[in-house]
Amino acid sequence: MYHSQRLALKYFTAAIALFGVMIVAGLLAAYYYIDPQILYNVFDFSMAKILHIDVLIIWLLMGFFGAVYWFLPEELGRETVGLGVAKVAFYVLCAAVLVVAAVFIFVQYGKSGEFSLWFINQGRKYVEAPRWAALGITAVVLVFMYNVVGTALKAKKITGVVAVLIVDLVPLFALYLISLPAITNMSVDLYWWWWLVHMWVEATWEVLIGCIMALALMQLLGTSRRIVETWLYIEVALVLGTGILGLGHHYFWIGTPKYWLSIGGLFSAFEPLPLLGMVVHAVYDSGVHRMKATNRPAFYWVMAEAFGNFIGAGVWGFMMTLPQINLFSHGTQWTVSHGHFAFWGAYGCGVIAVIYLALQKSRSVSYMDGTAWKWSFALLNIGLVGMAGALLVSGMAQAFYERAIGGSTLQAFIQAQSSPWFMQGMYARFGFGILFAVGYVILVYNLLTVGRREAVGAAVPAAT
Amino acid sequence: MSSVELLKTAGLLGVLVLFGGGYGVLYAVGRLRRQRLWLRGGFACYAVQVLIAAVLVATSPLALGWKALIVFSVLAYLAIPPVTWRYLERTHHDEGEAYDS
Repeated sequence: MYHSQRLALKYFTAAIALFGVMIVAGLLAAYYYIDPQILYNVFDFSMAKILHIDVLIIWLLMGFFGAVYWFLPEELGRETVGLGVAKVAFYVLCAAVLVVAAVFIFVQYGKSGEFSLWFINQGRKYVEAPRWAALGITAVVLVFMYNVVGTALKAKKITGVVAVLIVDLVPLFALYLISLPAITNMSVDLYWWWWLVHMWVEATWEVLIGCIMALALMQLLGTSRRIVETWLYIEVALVLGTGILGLGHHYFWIGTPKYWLSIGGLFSAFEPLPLLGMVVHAVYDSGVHRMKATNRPAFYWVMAEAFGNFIGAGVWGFMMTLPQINLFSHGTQWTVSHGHFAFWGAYGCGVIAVIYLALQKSRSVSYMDGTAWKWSFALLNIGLVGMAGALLVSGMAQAFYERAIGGSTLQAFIQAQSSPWFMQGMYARFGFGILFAVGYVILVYNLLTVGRREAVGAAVPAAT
Repeated sequence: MSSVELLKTAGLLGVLVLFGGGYGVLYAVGRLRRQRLWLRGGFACYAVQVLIAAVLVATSPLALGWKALIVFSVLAYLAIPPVTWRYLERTHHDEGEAYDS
C-alpha cells in the first residue's frame, strides 16, 4: 500500500467521525422544533444548525481528499508528491475543525467587528468558520492541489481523469476565497456567496465526485478506462452546462436583475436531464455485472448514488425551481428537504462507496460482503428518505399557510410553525433521524470490522 | 398563484420528473432483460409523464415560457434513455464488455 493511501485512510476515519458529529448536531437541531425550550440561551438552535451544516461540508471534503489520496498513486503509478506537507495539512485541518467546533459550542458569537470575523464566527451560512480557519482551509486545498499536480508532473503522466481533476481544483480553490471578505451590501454579499456555495456544490464538487466515481468504477467493476473517461467527459459537460447557470435559481429574490428569473429557471429545469442519463448508466452497469461485484457494499452504495442524485437533486429540485413556485417555497423546510436528499444522493453515498473500496484493499479481502452493511445501507437510506419526506410535508405546510395564504407576515410565520401539518412533519423528521443515526452506528461497526471478522479470501462468486 | 394551485403545480412538477426517471429505469431494465413487459412499463411511465405535462400546460398558472420549457423537457426525456443506452452498448461493445443475456 502506498503512503498516500495510509493518509487516505486517516482522512476517511476523520470524515466518518465528523459524519457522526453532523448527525448528533442534526438530531439536536431537529429536536428544537419539537421542544423549543431545550437548551434555551445555553446552546441555541442557530449554533446546532451551524455545526450540522458546516460539519457536513467538512466531512464530505475530507472524504473527497481521502478518495483522491487513495486513487492518485495507483492512477499515476507512483507515490504522491509532497506527502510530508499533506500529512501536516491533515493534522492542521483536524485541529482547526476541533478548535472551530469548540468556539462554536462554548463561545458561539461575539460583538459585531473584525475580532469576531477573525476568531469567532463569520456568520455566513455554510462558511461560518472564522477567517483564520477559512485561511487554513484555503492552505489545505492549496497543499492538495500541489500534491495532485506535483504527482502528475513527477510521473510525467496524465490521464483523462487526472486532467479533469486538475482543472477542477482551480475553481475549487479560487471559489473558497469568497468566504473571506465581509461585504456590507447584502445583495452584493449574497451574489458572491452563492458563487461559492452553488459553484462548489453544483459544479466543482460534481466534477470532483465524477472523477472519484470514474476511478472507483475502474477498480470496482474493472470498467475500461476508455468507457469511464468518455462518460466522465459527457457527464461533466452536461452537469457543468446546466449547473453553472443553474446558479440563477439562487438569484431570484436577493435583489439581482429580473433576467435571472429566466436564466435560473431555464438552466435549473435542465439539471435533471444528465442525472437521468446517469440512472440509465447505473442500470446498464448493474446488468453487465448482474448486481455482483467483489465488493458488494461499494457496489450498492454506487448504485444508491445514481438513484439518490436523480431523486434528490432532480425530482425534489424540479418541484421548486421554477420562479413562480420558488417564490413561495424558498427558505422553507421544503428547501431543507431538497438539500438533505441531494447532498446524500450526490455525495454522501459516493464517499461511503469509496471507503468500502479502500477497506477491501487495505485489509486484503478478495470478496467483501456480510450482513451488517445491508442493515446500515437500509437504515441510512430509509432514514434519509423518511427525513426528506417529512421535511417536504412541513415545507409545503409553510409555503401553503405562511407564504400563499398568510402573505409572509410574522404572524403567518408563527401560525405556519404551529400548524399540525408542520409539527407532524417535524416529529416524523426526528423519528427518521433516529433511524438514520442507528444506521450510522451500524455503518461504523461494519467499517471497523468488515473483512476482519469474515474469512479472508472467501470464495468469490462469478462476476463478469 | 393560489395556495392550492401552488401545491398542485409543485406536486405535478415533481411527479413529472419522477415518471421520467421511471421511464428511464424500466426502459433500461427492459433492454437489459430483453423483455417487452418492462419496456412497455417504461413507455407507460412516459405516457403518464406526457399526461402530467398536458395537465400542467392546460391548467397550471405557470407562465407561457415555463409551459414551453415543460413541453421541451418531456421531449428530451423521451430521447435520453434510448440514446444513452445505444451509446453505452457501443462503447462497451468496442471494449468487449457488452451485456450478454
